[in-house]
Amino acid sequence: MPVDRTRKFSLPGIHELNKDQDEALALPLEGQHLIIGGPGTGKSVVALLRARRLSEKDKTYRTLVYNHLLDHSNRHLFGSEQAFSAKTWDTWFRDIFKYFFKFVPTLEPDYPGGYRPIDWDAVEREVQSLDDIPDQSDKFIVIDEGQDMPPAFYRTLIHLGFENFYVAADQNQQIHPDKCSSRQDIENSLAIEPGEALELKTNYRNTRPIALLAQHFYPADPASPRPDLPDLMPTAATPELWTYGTANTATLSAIADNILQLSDRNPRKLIGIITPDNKVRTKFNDALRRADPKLDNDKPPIQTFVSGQRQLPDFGQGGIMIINAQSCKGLEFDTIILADIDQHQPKRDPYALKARFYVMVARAREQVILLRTGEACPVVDGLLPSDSSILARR
Amino acid sequence: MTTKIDAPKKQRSRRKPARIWHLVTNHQNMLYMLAAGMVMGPAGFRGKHYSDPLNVYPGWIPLFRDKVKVPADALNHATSERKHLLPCIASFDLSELSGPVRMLSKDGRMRDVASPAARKRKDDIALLVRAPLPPTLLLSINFCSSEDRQAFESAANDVSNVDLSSQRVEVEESLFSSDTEVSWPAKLLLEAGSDIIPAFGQALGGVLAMLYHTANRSDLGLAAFRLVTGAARDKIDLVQNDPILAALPRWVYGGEISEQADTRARLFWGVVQSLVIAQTHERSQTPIDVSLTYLENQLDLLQETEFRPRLERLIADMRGFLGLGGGTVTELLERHKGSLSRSLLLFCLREHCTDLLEFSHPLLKDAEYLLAGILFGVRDTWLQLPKELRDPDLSAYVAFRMADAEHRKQGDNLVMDAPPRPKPLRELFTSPSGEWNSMTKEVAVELASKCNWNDCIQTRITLAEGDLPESFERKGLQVVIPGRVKAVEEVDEVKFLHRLGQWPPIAPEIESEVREKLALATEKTEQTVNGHLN
Repeated sequence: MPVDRTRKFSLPGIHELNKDQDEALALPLEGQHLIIGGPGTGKSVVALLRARRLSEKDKTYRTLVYNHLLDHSNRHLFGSEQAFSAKTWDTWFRDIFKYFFKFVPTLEPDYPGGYRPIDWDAVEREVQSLDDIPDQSDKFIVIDEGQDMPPAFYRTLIHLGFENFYVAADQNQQIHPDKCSSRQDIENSLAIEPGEALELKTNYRNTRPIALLAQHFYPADPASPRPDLPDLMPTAATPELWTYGTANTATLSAIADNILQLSDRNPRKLIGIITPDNKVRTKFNDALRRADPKLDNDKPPIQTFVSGQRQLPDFGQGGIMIINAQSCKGLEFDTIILADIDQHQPKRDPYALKARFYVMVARAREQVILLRTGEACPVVDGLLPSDSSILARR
Repeated sequence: MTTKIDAPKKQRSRRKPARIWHLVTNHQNMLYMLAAGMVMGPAGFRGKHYSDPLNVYPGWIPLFRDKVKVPADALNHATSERKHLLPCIASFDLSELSGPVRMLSKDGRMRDVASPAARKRKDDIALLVRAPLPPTLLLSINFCSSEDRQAFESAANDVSNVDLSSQRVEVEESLFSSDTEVSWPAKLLLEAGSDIIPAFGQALGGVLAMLYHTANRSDLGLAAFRLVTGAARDKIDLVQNDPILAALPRWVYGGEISEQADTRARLFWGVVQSLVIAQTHERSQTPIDVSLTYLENQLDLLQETEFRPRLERLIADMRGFLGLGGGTVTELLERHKGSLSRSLLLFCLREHCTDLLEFSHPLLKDAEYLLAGILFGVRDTWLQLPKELRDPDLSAYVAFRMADAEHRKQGDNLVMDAPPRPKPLRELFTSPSGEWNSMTKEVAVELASKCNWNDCIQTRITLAEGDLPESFERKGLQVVIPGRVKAVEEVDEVKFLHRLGQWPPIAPEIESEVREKLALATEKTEQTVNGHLN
């Protein structure tokens, strides 16, 4: 009989929520609320619990996220007990705007037939012309990763009469800083007094050793407080750095065998392999598919995802998921394997490179494993901690 | 899930009148205490205690007198730390509690009294009872408004380990009309270090819960659970045959493990003790690291040299498979035989109690699984167990045992009536004679068919005497047998008991139906026996 790999949704225990999270959860359903926190501080957890509560109270609500992958991952985290009303913010906004104005002003695409970005200047001009602002006070909007939406998005929704917002955001994780909202942008648009935004400061997701490694890569921006180190998780282990493919080290095929056995030992766990580019993603995908080590169960499912792919990966099953670094933000895995770390870009901007490592490492709940080939890049090498209690060399 | 507002009133002894006292706290602390199965001092909250009257007399629970307005200062204190806190008054019935307590007067004077039933003086405002108390003494949890009650229920609904189904959650506005004349606390009694983390009690709670759930898996499991819950000591040899399990009763009752004990027992219970002690410290190590540190320290102390290489190999493998290495589970179990090694391997392989209950492997023996359950119970403690592991009868019993263990450790002489011992389902399907009566058989068939355990259902066809046909006719899905027969559905007992021990457990509503029917059957049997005797 095939092994059950179902990853079950489970609510946090009361001991796992800290006082800041308690306060974030206790905010009234009505009004505008902003929750600020770094990766792993539980922003998404409180946003999902808020959506769950709105659903239980039969409120008309919508959870908005940046992309389809996050939307899909959130659906798994939300659980299947209740219907989850969620969409990507871009799709939802276009639908809403069309409802009022019949069309959405857009800019020319970067290439023929490409994506047409929303023309925010035109959108704002249109909404200013609206005579009757509709009553939207019975609608509730929950936004995860709210820093990724532009300021005009928030301003427009206010003009359209929306009143109830619950926004979770982290300024240190903006996907496109020039098109994103800062903490102040969101506060200004939603008329939130500076002292009213709640800050989540304690790392909730990662084990202490992972949080220590993530802190090493922390790109200091005072707008989002640096997460405090978490209390302990039961199966914590020190992050490991493995070199492979050289004369004295394991081959790629041996590494692939080990990854499959790691998954086989705990079939419900989801291992995320984060790659710097499509070339490395394909290399690991091929190596894992070729590998045939001794396993107790059937071979774990190996999924891969690349931006624009129609079929979305299944977060409800344990196994292995290979994605590029650009797609990993906001996701959560039990174990993270950062493949070929020396290939990550941009090398000329160590700050951005460090921020990328910060986001990638913070995806892991239990274990982080870094892999490098023999060709170490001095820039990446310079970013890695030398302390073996933070990163153990294997 | 919505709370049953109309939860049945707690049953009290008819002989004793209710003695009601009130704890003033906030809704968040109340939820935490319900999850912990203990009404306790701030130390037990592990940094998540919101300042409230429990801070005032560390290690003592201040309970205000019934029908006297609670001091306004106490109510304000309970909600002073954060703006989202809601005042909450937990009403206790202490009629089942006896033993020394302290009476507190309006002006802060304190006097020792023999029991909560002691005569009160006019200016007495509160009783101080040594922590912890079991939530089974709770009569009701009260809020000032229906909005507050609703917010409390919503907060409970956001977490995995608070079950309000057996609590009375009420709106009792009158309890919140406070007395602004009385200053509280008038005087502080500070006993350094008297508020301790109830680590042993919590670990015991986790262990009892795991023994309860694993009791359904095997006769050994059932014998172990019965042994530690004071049932008749039948099949005790099953437990005593394993040198590590043999030391279980001693640990459960708070005892140290003898230095003369078997080496494996000393190592196993040494790990358990290290895990409990680690929970009383500012946490700096993971439970797995605590275990590894303990085992590594034991390497040099081992007198039996043959154990040393085995222990070294075990430690290396426990470390190895946390990262990218280690092989398959089967390879690990084949490399390490014996209940000490295998239980510790499982401890590293799975994260929480529920994960272990879902896990099975053909190489695992009952004792190995049971010992792993003990390690998981100590690691998770009662606090971390999700609702699905908190059967109401089990919760009441464990709450009593946890409080009792803590009081015994502190040398308090508080006495409470123990709730009845919860019985695992396997016990209900086990009779001393080994034979099932007709009602038990019937309920087993009903349970098996409700749970779709078709593999353990069989039909016994009894032919009329002398009518043994030479051949049967088969028509599609039917078998035609000449003559008269009696067909009875029954379960294959071995397969049925195996199914009973599998996880996830059967649905609570089906389980309670089964329990009711079996209780009725037992009652009928007893009546018949008594009828015969009379």
